[in-house]
Amino acid sequence: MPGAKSRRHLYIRFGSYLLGLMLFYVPASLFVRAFYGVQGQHLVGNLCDSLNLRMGVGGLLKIETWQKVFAADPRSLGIFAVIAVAFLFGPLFCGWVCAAGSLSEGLSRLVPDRFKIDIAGRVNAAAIRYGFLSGFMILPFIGLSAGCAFCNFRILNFMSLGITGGFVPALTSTYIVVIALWLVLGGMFMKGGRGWCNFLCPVGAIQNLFHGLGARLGFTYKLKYAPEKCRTCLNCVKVCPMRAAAPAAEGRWRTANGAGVLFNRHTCITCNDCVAACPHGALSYGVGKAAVPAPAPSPQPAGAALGAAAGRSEV
Amino acid sequence: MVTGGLWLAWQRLRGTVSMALFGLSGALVAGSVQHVVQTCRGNCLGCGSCAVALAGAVVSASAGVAERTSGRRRRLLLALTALAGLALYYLLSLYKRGLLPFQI
Ligand code: SF4
Ligand code: SF4
Repeated sequence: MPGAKSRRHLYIRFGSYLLGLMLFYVPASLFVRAFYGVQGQHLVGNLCDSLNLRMGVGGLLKIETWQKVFAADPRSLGIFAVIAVAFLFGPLFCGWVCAAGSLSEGLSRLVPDRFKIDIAGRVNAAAIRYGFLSGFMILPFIGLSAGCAFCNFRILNFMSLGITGGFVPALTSTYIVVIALWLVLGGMFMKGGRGWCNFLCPVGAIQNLFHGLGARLGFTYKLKYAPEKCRTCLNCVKVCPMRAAAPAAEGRWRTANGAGVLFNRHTCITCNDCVAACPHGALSYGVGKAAVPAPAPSPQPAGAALGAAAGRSEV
Repeated sequence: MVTGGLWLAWQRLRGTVSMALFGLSGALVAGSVQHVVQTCRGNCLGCGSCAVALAGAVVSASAGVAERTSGRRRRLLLALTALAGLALYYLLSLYKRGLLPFQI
């Protein structure tokens, strides 16, 4: 069961998503109001008007996108800002801002675990999401895109408009597919509620790609794991919404009791739920090395080997 | 030596690559459907993009299936993949010509 620290962390995180909803979705759309307000225009708009995320990812390999960047078209800069943050601090947009991801995650919390699929350690979500991302970025070269018809941000905007302004959009089959995958199968009936984020969101995938690169550098922020403090209670595995934490099968991260946890940098959204849930202080978020694997097993007697493993080795 | 190393690296990677191929296939299907839904109804210019993307999706999913299965199961799944691609293409063609009674 989550402790008080874990619960408080969760409240803060969902509060932050609420702020994301107010910043990037109608009716508040504070970001667009502020952005255009300083230019004397009074506009409201959704996430596309603010940050151009999905289509921005689709256009990253196209010359036109870069021309717009050099022409300082503000809407083309959003995706670059999100990527830069992911490189330096992790996919904070997913972990702290994205109201669409938080909606499916929140819905999943309403359904008992026994009805949910758990992909932790079973499905290579990183491979599938990067494959999807590649396809998403190839499509513009044959004149196509998988942006708007299959966009959960857009549907969330419709939902928000529907609730606050009585606007009822036509429910097309592509929207039905998205709702089924995002909120039902990948949300309510998937442990963590982040099935869509894990497999089908190009915005999440590109952030994790850059986070994976950035986390190799010492000065960037990342989730850090200290195996020598870990007792393999697996609290972190239980709470991880992305199912990015899984028990280490091969014992590469030898811990005080010889097991440990593996964290997948290519799906972790640096939400820090696991940090708040770890009762032994084995997890933290900060700069420096991500984790230190235990030294290779030595031919020494068992007691001596355990002693060596308990000391943190630098690699 | 180098070839052996590359072969070993490939052996370790192939499971990951096959999963990535399924993801790639999903994106290509989505792109094909989106194109037809957004631009083609009663307005098909015969650009062929939908067919190219769907064919790419079938090829990439088939490569994933071929990597992860063997024997009779492989043949069955490959046939099903090809059939699913054809069925979707047929459905999209009907839609483009306005022959489907509902909005995709
Ligand atoms: S990192 Fe912490 S929460 Fe996770 S298994 Fe180890 S001790 Fe438990
Ligand atoms: S590994 Fe930790 S920080 Fe990463 S997504 Fe899971 S709970 Fe959040």
